[in-house]
Amino acid sequence: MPEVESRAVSKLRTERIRFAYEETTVLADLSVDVPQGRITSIVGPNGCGKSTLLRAMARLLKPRSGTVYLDGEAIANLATREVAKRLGVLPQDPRAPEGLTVRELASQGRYPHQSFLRQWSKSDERAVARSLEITGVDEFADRSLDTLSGGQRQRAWISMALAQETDTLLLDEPTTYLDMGHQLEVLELLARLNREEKQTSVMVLHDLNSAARYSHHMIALCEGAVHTAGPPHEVVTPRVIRDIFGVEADIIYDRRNGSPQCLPYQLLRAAED
Amino acid sequence: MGRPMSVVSRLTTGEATLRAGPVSLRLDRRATLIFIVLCLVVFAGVVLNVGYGPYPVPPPAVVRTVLGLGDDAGQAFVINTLRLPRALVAVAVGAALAVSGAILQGLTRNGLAAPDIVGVNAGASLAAVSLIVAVPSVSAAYLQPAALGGAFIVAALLYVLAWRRDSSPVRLVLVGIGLGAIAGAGTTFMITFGEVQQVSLALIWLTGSVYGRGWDELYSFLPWLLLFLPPALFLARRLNALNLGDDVAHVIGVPVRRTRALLLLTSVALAGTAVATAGTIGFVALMAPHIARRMVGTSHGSLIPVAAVTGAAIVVGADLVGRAVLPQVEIPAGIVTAILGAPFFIYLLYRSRNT
Repeated sequence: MPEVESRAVSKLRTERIRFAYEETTVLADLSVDVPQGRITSIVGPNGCGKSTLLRAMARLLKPRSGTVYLDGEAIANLATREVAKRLGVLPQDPRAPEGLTVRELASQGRYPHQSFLRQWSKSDERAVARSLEITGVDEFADRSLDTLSGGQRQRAWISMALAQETDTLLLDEPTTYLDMGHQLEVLELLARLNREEKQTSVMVLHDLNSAARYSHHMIALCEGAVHTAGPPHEVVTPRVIRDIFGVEADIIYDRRNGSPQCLPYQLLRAAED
Repeated sequence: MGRPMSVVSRLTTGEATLRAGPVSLRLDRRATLIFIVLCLVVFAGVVLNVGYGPYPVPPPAVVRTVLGLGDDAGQAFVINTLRLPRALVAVAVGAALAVSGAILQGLTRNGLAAPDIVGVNAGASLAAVSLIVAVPSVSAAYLQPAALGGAFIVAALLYVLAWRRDSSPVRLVLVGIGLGAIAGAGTTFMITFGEVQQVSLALIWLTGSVYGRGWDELYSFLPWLLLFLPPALFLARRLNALNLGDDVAHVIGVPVRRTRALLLLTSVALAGTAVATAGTIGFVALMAPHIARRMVGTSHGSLIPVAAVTGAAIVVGADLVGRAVLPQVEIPAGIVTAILGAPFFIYLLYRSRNT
């Protein structure tokens, strides 16, 4: 992973977005930029607004104030279908109806490109075949989703988002509920998409070490505000971890890829006692 | 552009794609075949239905007479004036109820949902019976809007009480049964206190029968059918997307709220006007989509048309059976469908006990 972040143009950014559930502020005037052609991770403790931020970017939530911009336009003013042509989104823990096959799922990703008279064009066919192949689910494309392992299923959902043929992918905790091997399966896929296709990805991740290893850019949130944003070595530091998680940690650098890895050793409260 | 039309079929998925220039249509070959076969079944049912009765007419003569090629004036009267509209009403009502059920089941992701189970039909009945009892000599044309109003009131209550946030399938059904019971009580009230003559009219209507339905009833129903069946087909792709969950549907480009409202409107309108035409023919809206799903799977582009012809076949068949079993009495079609449908509903409830 490159250590130095390049000044990539941002196609997706938020400007002072604010969001609240009833009286609890979840996002407080949050402004973030998503570097293009990079993998960005949003990290932070439970309830810091990670998923809310991603959902606001995906236009699944409308912020109380502030604006999400996509290609320079306010996303709230774009048609739902137009957004779907530019942003592929994988929500948290998606559920498919019983018996749906992988191919049928991937084909649904073509929805924004289709109409009543344009139900299945050649480009639809190509896009679906390609997305099945890239995610490596083509060998079981005609099996139903409920017969697959967690990692395979998650790759099938990613193939749906890829079939949309968007520049940017947003993923909400794509590795939650997956075991170690299946987590790697998903993250390696995103890394390869980025390497080979220059795919921009933004994901919410729970695991700081996976985030540090697989992203170019990290956004650490704390109580609905950006605490630190930057390349992993600027974000995964003892200070940031102490501030946002309340945990004392050592940082070591992985010899294989140079990414900072965090070794938590005690709660801050315990250290103060 | 200018490319020759191509037909691509894939054996693995059973899909055929027709392409001509920018237009591309996708056909599930199996579903198309089943649809055609069921259309033939409905046609045969109608011909048998029209031919059957105290004055029997053999099938070839039925077809000849309907096409205006017959030369027997008496036969033409019996068939074209008395029996044909009744059979066609059965077809239309069956199709409307089935499509209504298919949409509601898809929309709520709930196989137990159907307009009659969740009280929509009871609401329509209450409104129509109130009108019959309160306004003597009311024209059949006013029954449709009245029943529609009743259906929408129940649908609105159901939405508020049981289905604003991801509610469980069983809760929706329970609240719906409750609303249905209230509407049923209201109907009983109207019948108890109404004038004898109006009440007997309302009772005949309530049993859910195509008995005595003529061209007038058919013509007042058809516009509603023509208005709401096409949107049902048109919205099938969105219904497929909604089945992936609201979030996924939204991110692949479906305006979720608007689509949901449109689908609910379509479903309730079809059920309400069908009830206004033939009373409450129960369980068709529940059974037909399940049977269709068994045959063609869950993709709504195939499911909705196949459910429609399945529903038509059920009601035409139920009417024929009801007339044939006890010719002197004529069991209403609604009773025949209930005898089949009630155990089916209990079976579905039993199967969903763990979810």
